[in-house]
Amino acid sequence: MANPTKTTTPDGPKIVFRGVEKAFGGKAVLTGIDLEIGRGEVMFIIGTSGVGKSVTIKHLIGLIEADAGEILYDGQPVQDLDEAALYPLRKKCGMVFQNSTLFDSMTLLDNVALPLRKHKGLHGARAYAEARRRLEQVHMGEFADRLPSDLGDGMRKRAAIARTLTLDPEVVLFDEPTTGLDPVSARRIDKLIRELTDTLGVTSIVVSHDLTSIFSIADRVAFLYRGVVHVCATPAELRASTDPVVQQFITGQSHGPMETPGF
Amino acid sequence: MIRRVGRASVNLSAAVGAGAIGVAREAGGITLVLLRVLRALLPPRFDARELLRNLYKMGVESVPIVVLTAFFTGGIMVIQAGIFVERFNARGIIGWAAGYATLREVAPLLIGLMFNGRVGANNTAELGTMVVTEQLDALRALAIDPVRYLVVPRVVAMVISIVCLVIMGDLVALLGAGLFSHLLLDVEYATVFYGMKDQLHLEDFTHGLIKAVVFGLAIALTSCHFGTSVKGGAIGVGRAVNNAVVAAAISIMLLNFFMTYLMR
Amino acid sequence: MIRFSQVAKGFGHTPLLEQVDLHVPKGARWGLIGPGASGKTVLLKLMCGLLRPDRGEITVAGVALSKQREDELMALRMRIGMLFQNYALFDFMTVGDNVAVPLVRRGGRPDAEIKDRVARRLRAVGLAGSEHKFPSELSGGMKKRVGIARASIAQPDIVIYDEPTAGLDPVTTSKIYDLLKAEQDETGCTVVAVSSDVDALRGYAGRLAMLYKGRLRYDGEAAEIALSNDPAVRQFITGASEGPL
Repeated sequence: MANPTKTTTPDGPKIVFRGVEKAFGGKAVLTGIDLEIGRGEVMFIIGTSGVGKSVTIKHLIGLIEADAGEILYDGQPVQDLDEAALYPLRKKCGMVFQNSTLFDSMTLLDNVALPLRKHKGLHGARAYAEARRRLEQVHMGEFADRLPSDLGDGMRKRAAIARTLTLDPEVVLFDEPTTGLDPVSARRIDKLIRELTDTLGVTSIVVSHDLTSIFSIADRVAFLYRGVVHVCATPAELRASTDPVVQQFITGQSHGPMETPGF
Repeated sequence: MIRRVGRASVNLSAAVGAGAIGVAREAGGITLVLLRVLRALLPPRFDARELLRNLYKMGVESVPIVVLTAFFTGGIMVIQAGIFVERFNARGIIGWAAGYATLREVAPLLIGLMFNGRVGANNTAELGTMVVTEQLDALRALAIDPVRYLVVPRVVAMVISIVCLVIMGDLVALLGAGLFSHLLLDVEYATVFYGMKDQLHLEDFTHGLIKAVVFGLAIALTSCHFGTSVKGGAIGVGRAVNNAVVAAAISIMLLNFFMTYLMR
Repeated sequence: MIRFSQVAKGFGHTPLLEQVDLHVPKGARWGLIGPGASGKTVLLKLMCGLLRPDRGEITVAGVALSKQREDELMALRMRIGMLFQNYALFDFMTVGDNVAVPLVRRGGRPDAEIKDRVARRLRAVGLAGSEHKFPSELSGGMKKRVGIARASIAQPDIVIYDEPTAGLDPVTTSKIYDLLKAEQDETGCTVVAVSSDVDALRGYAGRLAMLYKGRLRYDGEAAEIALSNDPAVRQFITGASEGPL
């Protein structure tokens, strides 16, 4: 144990969802999510569009409040924290949004330096040196002085990841990181996510329905269906699963038992 | 030193030149919008539902702010005229003094600027957002002419709205002038309104309305031009709104000067 | 049906399309792939005259676009339906009104018939009964389907889909492609589709073209693209990180 004064339980799971329920306007979305996410693993949360994947991960950083159930972060309940108490947690859990949310008017370097100056109190040259190092970490060093609008979606996404990394998060939440990217850019993002977990030890939670990503980088996969975690397994177990809904999803068949909202 | 001054003057003249080119380009763009609008109006073929929607949004929803502005404008004119009225003991002319300036200058100008800030800015932002989200291209792809469908109803709605608002503003301002003359200068209502009726002419009123039409056109064409030529996402929309409001305000001031000179 | 010869298009000083030659036969299912920002959307917009090429000629349904004025192009666009990447739904209109636009624009139909066709169309894309909702109340996947309904309701000769399934899960994606197929079998229209989901598009399109660095690097049978002897095409198809891209 590196730091005995910490009240955390380093051996237990990093994050626990227990019976989490959430309804919007009387319509139940999550009806009892149970999930444990271990330290330093790449956990994928998959399921059809509109099944509540993003809703689930937004609970973790208090962007959405659960109707029932509890969420533990390092053994500490999250759902009772007020807005002020959530800030330290949000710094520990970086989120990479689906649209890269870089500021259009700033260069990549300025974008990445922003949280360093605001949260870490770094100034001038030191903030920029650190920002440059972060950009190199995502293999974007040579584009540091370009504007986001000059670059493709995949590169913008990598810069957004670099910006998230500046706060040394313990957990990074990725909301559909490869959606809309061409295969080459998508696979580069996959590789980067795996790299971050393997070299920095961060816990990655990835919301996705990109089958290629799932089967190439996930440690475990939680398959959401009808408001609960239908199956939680390793990719190999998932592939071997005889569950017809799982099979339909991972093969992308249009005909099968699976309910897709709206169709 | 001389070289530095020289270089500075070169930079300055380059900046002035670039600025002039920019102004010329935007003025050309605005003229182009005008020509397209005229072509769509001869014969008038545009979307009536869009016109009604815009009349409501631009005209009806502007009534409260125009009434408020006009009411106090009437009061301010009385306070300013009051100094002379008291000094020369000429209570009989207070109605004329306040009314003349209000109808000819102050009402169209203030309502025009107010309209520019509220409706013009909103229009630029709305059109700009439609450009950024490809809605304008979608119209063209659906074989719908964006000028006929979006621009013409807006231009017509803005001109009609501002004329109606100025007429309403004139009435409210004159009422305000009467009320404040009575309250602040202790002039009888009858004296004020008789002075207005006797000494104000129809052309004082129409003079203001002509200005309203021209200001309305200026705001409409400027906001539509900047709105439809937005480039580059959210910042582009912001920049366009800013440019449109400034350009329209400057046009209003210049046009007002020339019209006042010509219609003296 | 659609032919590009030696088409070039740039913005400012950056050339985007350098020399594009292509031919989409009548009734084809023609898919276009390529890396981000390679100009796929620009190519689609050139097809319906929303953008003009700097050089070269584009012929659509026998009409040479360069000789057409904007108002003359309107007649051609009546024969084309387009789904935009960001849906481009009119946010001040209800879903029903959005889908009805192409029918209303063509005129001459009673309101009841339009209402009926809109309802049937929305049912076909799995959004029955959402006529009175506004686009802002819908999720991305639902907006996409409203866009598909709008693009094809008037049964145009050519339908252009820009990213019809981006952001949708695999099952919904194949349901969308089933829908597009069923529709084309019924109307026999020519379909042009751009997608970054290469695998799903390969399953749908008969012919594929890949745009890279301003030119078409592949233009042929979808089934044979993996056998292309161009390393850039092969890398793109497999998504390998190492390669010429």
